[in-house]
Amino acid sequence: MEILMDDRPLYAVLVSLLAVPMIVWSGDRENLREVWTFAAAIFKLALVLSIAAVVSKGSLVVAHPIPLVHGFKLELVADPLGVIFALLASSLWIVTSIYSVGYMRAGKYQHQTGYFAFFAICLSATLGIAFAGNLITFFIFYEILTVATYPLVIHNRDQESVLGGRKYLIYTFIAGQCFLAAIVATGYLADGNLSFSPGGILATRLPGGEYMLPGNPTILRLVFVLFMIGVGVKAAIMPLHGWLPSAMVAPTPVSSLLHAVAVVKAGAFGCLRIVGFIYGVGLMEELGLNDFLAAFAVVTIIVGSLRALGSQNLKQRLAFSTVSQLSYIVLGAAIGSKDALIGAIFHVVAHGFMKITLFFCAGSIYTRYHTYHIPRLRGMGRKMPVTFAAFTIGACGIAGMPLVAGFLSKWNLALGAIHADRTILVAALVLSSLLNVAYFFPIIRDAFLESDDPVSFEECWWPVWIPPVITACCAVILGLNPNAFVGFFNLAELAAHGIVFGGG
Amino acid sequence: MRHLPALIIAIPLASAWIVPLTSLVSAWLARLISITALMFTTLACYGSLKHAMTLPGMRWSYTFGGWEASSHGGIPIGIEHVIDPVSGALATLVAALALLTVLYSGPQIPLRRQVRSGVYHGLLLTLTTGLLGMTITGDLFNLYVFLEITALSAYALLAKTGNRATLASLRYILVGTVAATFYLIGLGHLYAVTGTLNMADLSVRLSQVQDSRLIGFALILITLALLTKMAVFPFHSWQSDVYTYAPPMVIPFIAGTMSKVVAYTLFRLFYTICFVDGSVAHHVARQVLDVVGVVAAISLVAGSVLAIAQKDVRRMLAYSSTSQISAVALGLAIGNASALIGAFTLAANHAFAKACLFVAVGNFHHRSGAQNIEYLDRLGIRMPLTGIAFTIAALSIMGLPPTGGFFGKWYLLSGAVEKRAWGYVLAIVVGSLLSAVYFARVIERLYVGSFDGTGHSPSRGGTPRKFSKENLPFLMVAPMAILVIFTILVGFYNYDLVSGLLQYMLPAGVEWKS
Amino acid sequence: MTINMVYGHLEYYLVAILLVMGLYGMIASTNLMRKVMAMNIMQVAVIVFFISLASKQGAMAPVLPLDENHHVKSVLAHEVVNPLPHALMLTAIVVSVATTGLALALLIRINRHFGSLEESVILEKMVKE
Repeated sequence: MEILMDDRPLYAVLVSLLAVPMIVWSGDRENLREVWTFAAAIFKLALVLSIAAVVSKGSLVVAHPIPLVHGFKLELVADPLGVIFALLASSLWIVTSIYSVGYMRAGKYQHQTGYFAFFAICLSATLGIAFAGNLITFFIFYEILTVATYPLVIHNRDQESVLGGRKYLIYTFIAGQCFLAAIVATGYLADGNLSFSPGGILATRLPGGEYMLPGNPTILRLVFVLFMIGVGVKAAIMPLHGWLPSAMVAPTPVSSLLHAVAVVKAGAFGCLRIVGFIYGVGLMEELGLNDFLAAFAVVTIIVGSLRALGSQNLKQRLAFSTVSQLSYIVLGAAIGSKDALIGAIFHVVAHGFMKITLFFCAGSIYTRYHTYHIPRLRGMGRKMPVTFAAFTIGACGIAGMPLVAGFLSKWNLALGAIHADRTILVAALVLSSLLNVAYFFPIIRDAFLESDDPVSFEECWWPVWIPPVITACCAVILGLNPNAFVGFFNLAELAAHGIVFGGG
Repeated sequence: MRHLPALIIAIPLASAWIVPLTSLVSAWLARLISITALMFTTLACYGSLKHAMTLPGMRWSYTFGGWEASSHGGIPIGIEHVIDPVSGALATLVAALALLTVLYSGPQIPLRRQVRSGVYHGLLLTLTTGLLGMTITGDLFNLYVFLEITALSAYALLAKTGNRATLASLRYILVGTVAATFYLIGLGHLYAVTGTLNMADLSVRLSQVQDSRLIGFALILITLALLTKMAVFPFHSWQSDVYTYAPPMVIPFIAGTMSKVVAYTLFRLFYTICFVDGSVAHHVARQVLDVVGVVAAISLVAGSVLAIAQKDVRRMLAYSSTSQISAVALGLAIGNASALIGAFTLAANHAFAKACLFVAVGNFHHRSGAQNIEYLDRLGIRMPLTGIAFTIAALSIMGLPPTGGFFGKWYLLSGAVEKRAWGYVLAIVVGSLLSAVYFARVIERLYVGSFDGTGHSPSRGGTPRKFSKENLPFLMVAPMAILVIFTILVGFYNYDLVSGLLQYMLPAGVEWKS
Repeated sequence: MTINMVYGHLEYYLVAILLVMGLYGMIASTNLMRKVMAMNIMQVAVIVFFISLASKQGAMAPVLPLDENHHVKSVLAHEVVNPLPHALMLTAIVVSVATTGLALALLIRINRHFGSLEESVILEKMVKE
């Protein structure tokens, strides 16, 4: 494994922070202010792409560590898993910024300067999470993300938003403290090492195939539970998911990028890191933790889909759908075989594109017709055909239909489950797909077929309806050629290989 | 240069006389002298620190009047002041905070009240003298003297604003005197059995004493006294009234420094005086520390719980201080390297953050008359700088990265985990969560306002005035900005702080684990 | 043995009694003036304690005597009382005086405003404000 010492990961994290003072200074000069966001986003994507090019060939890009506390440094390391998350976040930021401009201006929202400034901070924190090389770096950016997303959640400043924001803070703070306790315990158990290492740092594998544990197995299990509470809140694993539907009071661009891509994916990403890079799949199996985690994942998948079925509010339905879909990633981590991990990691990307499409569509509908109520969407497909077409593609992908990206992740997950002798999980996946169809297709059918209106084009202005088209197309392209753009699938394979077979 | 440590005490003390006399003639001259004196004091502290770090053992011992203080032969009679990395740094911190407070108070004291302002400056200077003396002294009775100087100045400064303040001050006098009395009795026992009052000498002689009951009794009394002065639950009740009614030109200094200096004294008691390995004193000290740990853990949580129940911002901050200083005491009680470093880092961070919070609250009051949380509706938007300062300082006390509070908590948690003290871990975690509750409530009120229709209660919390722009005098904003920046710097530079300064203060035998 | 324990340590019993009296007075009194007086009693207890530490059997005051030619005579340590605690207690007395003076000044102000020094009366008036 070749290691390239280069500070590009650090620059990628900092680029959007530099934009923040410029955004604040630009204040109400809207077009100037937006320039900074786009400039930062493009720079960020360019940096991440250049890092990805190196990492795709199997090397690591490591920024120079900065001393932080006694014994630990701020480490930013670009490895395949981190690069995937970073690419997802930075590419979607550009699209979301276009959408934000359209949505905010069309809806005449206030506090836009604060919105764009905090958004930039959030993206900085997200990249910090993606490139974190050890648990303490991860935690620092994780908490910064929590604090920076709060003003975005309460953006509307009405009672519902404030209450939603409070709930969000309560959940994430408690999770943060549990996470911190787990990290400190791990530092002690792993003898002062907190760095992510493919294959785990907690146990050493002896030649006979046995594991030498650094402590009492019960303590290791307890620490794992604390870790899972820490990441599980953000990853919306049941029963820690309660904040996500309440956080839907935020404006749709916030919901789409942050609560469908950045924040929740940070939780799922954290889960992957802990399972693959701290505990290691072997140790998980040894301690019986993978079945434990898989149980929660399956419950979340099924119950999440059922709750989605029961919602009459489009954003809430999408929120529960997200809850359900994220646990695919957790399930893949729990299964632990190579294909399952590939499926889980690829799903990070696939779900990102698909879900953001759906949320963009929901926002478009709201901007035009001021409603999220599903029965009112009857016949709207004929008036907003492009939006609903994108919605259809997204829904198909989530349900796992071939040709769209979601199919590949489901396929790999199922394959992984069979390889790991857990065929029953395939049943869970199939059931989940059926439920997805059940809660998405009635919307589509009602929108397109339940009306006699002629097809017209009453979309909002272009920054609102174009982004969902872009992301939907990306989802399709990735479904046809998963290595399109930057070789996502290749990166996923590299990452999974690392986790299963250890570093090297 | 040789007499720099003496100057640290002499300058503020002398100015405390000169300034009130000058104020009879001219108020602004008095203020100028006061500010200059504090500037020189800060420089003297910093210079001493720098010089001490170059000496072998990093310990600069200065004896007043040349009377021998260490017992090479007979009994030491002289009074010794010791500058070492932590005492020097703490002294610099105290002097700097005093300077910032005097600068901050400028716009709040109308110049025509000459004598009043002269008295205020004089008392503040004696308060500074007392705190500085407590920090650098090496003699236990000298500590008592400076402790009482501090206390008396605080009693007097506190009582200036109205009748509730007078009552609060009286209550403070009663509690403070009980504490000082206990301290003296404990000290008397130690003196009786060793014959010396000098800390370094005492540690040598005490290690030879075999009577554990006596040492235990003395230690408990002194610890009780110090814990009361630090306002640890359940000895904390005096602090809420004091912080609430103290004039805003004094409270940032008191809140920021008093409890830290007392905590440092506690550290010296247990880790310098009673620290000779294998002695009875060490054994007894360890037992007392274990009890202190439990009390501190309970106080951590109790302080936060009490803070949640408050309506007045300053009272809430007072209980918050109880909780935070208990975290420092907990670190001292745990006793391994990580925990001690954590305690020092938390103390430094809290000094800056709490002072900043009180300055911000003073600014809110100055413009809008608000004291109760209800009156802070959307003030963060109308006064953006103050709002941001309050928020960042609050985040620092909550323990969120990348501020100093997070790193302090990190070290403290590492220490607790290393010692397998899961109860302490739980207390620290719960304390952080609860502190998030009461601060988040205020921050929400600052930026979003309220929705539950909480009416404004009559005049108890002060009548809010209307105003349009932040419009604070520069001298009220600058100290706040400096304090906030330092809070963040303690976070960013905490590695340098630890490796360059704090780790030299670890007592012999306390090593890093990894 | 017991007699020795009492008679040999009478002054320390006095200290203990004064201390407890003072503490009790501070806690149980309802009148602020009595509280301040009790505080004084406590401080006196400490002073007696230290002075007792300093005493020696048959010793005289720590003043160097003059002989016939008005030269200073030296003394042996066991002939004079230990002067250090006396010096310490001078300081303590000064502190006590200062504190009492401050407390009295505050009491005057409180009395002027509330008209009484009884705690119950003051609390009532405070609630009404």
